[in-house]
Amino acid sequence: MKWYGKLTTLTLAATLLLGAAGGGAATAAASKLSGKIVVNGSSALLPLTLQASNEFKKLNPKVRISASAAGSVTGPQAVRKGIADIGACDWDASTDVPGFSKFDGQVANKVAVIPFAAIANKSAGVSGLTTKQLQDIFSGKVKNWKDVGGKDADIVVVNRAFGSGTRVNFQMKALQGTDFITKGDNYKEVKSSGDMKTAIETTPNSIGYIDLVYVTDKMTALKIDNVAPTTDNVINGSYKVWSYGYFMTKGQPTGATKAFIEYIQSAKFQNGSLKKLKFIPLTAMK
Amino acid sequence: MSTGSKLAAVVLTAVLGTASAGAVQAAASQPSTGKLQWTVNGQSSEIRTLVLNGQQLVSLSDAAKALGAEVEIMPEGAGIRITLGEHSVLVKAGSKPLNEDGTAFGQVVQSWKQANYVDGASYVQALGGSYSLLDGSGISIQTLQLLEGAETAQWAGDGRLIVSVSDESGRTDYLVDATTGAYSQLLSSSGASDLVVSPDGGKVAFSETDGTLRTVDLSTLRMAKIGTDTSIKSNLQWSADGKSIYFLQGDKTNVIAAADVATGAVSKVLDDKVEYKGDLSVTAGGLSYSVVKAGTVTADASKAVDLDDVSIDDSQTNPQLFDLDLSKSDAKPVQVTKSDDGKLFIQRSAAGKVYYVQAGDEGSNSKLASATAAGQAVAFDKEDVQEAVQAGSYVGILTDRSVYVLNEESGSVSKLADAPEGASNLALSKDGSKAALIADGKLQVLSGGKWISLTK
Repeated sequence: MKWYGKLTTLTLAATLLLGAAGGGAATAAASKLSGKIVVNGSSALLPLTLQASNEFKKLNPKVRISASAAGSVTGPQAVRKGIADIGACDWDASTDVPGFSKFDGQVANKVAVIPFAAIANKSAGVSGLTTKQLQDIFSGKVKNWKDVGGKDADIVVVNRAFGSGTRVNFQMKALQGTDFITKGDNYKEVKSSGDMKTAIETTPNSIGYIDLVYVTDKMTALKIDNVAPTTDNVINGSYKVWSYGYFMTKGQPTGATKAFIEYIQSAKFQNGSLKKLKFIPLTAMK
Repeated sequence: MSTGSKLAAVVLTAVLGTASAGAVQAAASQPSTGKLQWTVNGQSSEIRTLVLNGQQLVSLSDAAKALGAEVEIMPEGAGIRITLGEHSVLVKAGSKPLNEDGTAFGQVVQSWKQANYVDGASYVQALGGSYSLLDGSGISIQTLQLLEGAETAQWAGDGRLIVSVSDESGRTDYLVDATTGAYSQLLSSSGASDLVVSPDGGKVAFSETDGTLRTVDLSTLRMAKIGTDTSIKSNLQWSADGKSIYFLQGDKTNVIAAADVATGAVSKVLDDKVEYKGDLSVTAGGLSYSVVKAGTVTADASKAVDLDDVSIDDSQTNPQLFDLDLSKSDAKPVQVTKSDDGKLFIQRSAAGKVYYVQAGDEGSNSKLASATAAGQAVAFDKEDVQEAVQAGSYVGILTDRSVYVLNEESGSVSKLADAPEGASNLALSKDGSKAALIADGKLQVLSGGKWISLTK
């Protein structure tokens, strides 16, 4: 039994407390890690890699990181060859995908969610296509926009070059594995996302595909099966054309490489810089 | 039955004589009196002490006054109730104090020359405070509820800090009183950029996930939207006059742009097609930034994938620093470094020097260096430099063991304090006199030459 009744709570004049404090995730102090990390591969993931590198090196001043990009497939290739510690790749290169066999012994570490969009030149006159229509256009069966609800004009198909992670994902997720045309008067190939953006913006009646982050108001981001390519629709599961971005490593990562991957996967980076670069955090896809 | 008469702590001494009537006199050994320094929520107080049988006790009235506790004389000689916030203790000379559940704790309360003395540590803890020794020369006591955790800290004026804490759902920013640790929530967000404090400490700027630029007035807590531009923004920086907010634009950060705070209009400051700029820093008359080059890859896509026909040249991938004179409309960026070394914590000083931490290799110290168009120089290499932070005419330097301040005007470097184990995120006030950092996941503020935890 208490020796006195309930006390009146006193408010301390100096207390400015408003709301509860969140749980603290402490920032690590400058670490003892050292060494060099070489990252190569996906051009889509390069801005992410460089931003994370800048932040990570402040916590680990004696770790050097170099980053380069020449298409997703060169990531796991460089890891297998032993000239890179991390292969940035837009698909899980430890498994077989259309056009590429799996890279034995490599581990796929998820770092981001990358949405992709089918895009068309503003002149095409369509706002959306079905999966079947996309398959027919990219395989060359349908050659005129009027056959899919657009104007009477030849369709110009713009494709990414072999080795592109965006191409692998678009083929797997949007075309459900059907083949691309690879030649013809109304067929173009481009080497990067930047080139794809320019091609679609400036080529009348063109169609292509791109990372959602590159979509501009000078092109039409097409609905697929009546679902718009938006971050919200990726997260709610209604839009299927997306993939994880991976950091491929030779076996499980160790040392500075492991710490760097863990930094990118951290809540601080995922909710901060990664979101600002228009990627979707891994935790959003639970 | 009676509730007793409540008295302010400041007049407690006068009434304790009555309240302690019948107290056990300290007679086991000859007591000695002295004084002790208590720092309660950052405020210093002198507390009378009584040493008896090797045990140091503190004056009940001095302690109550220092804590700001409320005192109530209980009826019928039942003792004195001391109340601090939601916590109370009952004190009676000759007995151990009782906590709210009636459980005795600490040492027997002693009466000596019309004053009562209690065991300070258990008394403070029973009242909900924390009690810790300050390097043997005083006692630090915290009775306010402190913020839990701290990830980064920066000064917003001289007397307060902005402290950020992240969890799975995002980041919350708090205003923390740099003396008491009292705090208030400023912003809770998922995806907002780090807050950047204006030169006068009165506002913060940040960009939302969709690129929208906003400011918050720290006095009124009113938020304002700056323009309608939603391009990707990073490295926000206030101009020296607080009228513009500079930023790197685009996912490849190839453009430096500025938003007019009054009108929201965004204008390009530099669009030279050079990608992957970073570390934007703006001071009066100019700005600096780094440029990182991606490695050069040679790959023949026509060859079979399993031939791994890939080579990488990453010999030029360390950042180089550039400076741009903002006083001339036709000025071109000037490259101020050519060295092939890691460059971190890059910031332009008010005098136009670009300071950075030159990262050492394993086994060699990192140094503080500076660069201008005239060349590069080592500014500090006494210890292994971990971080550097620009504040007015000063550069704060965190090494693996100390905190130093470089006075740019005089060129002198003075040591502020030893650094706590595992310190990071050094923040220096604009006059170079106040320092804060994060250690052991807590905000630590330098006070009287000692680091005081202002978060838990």
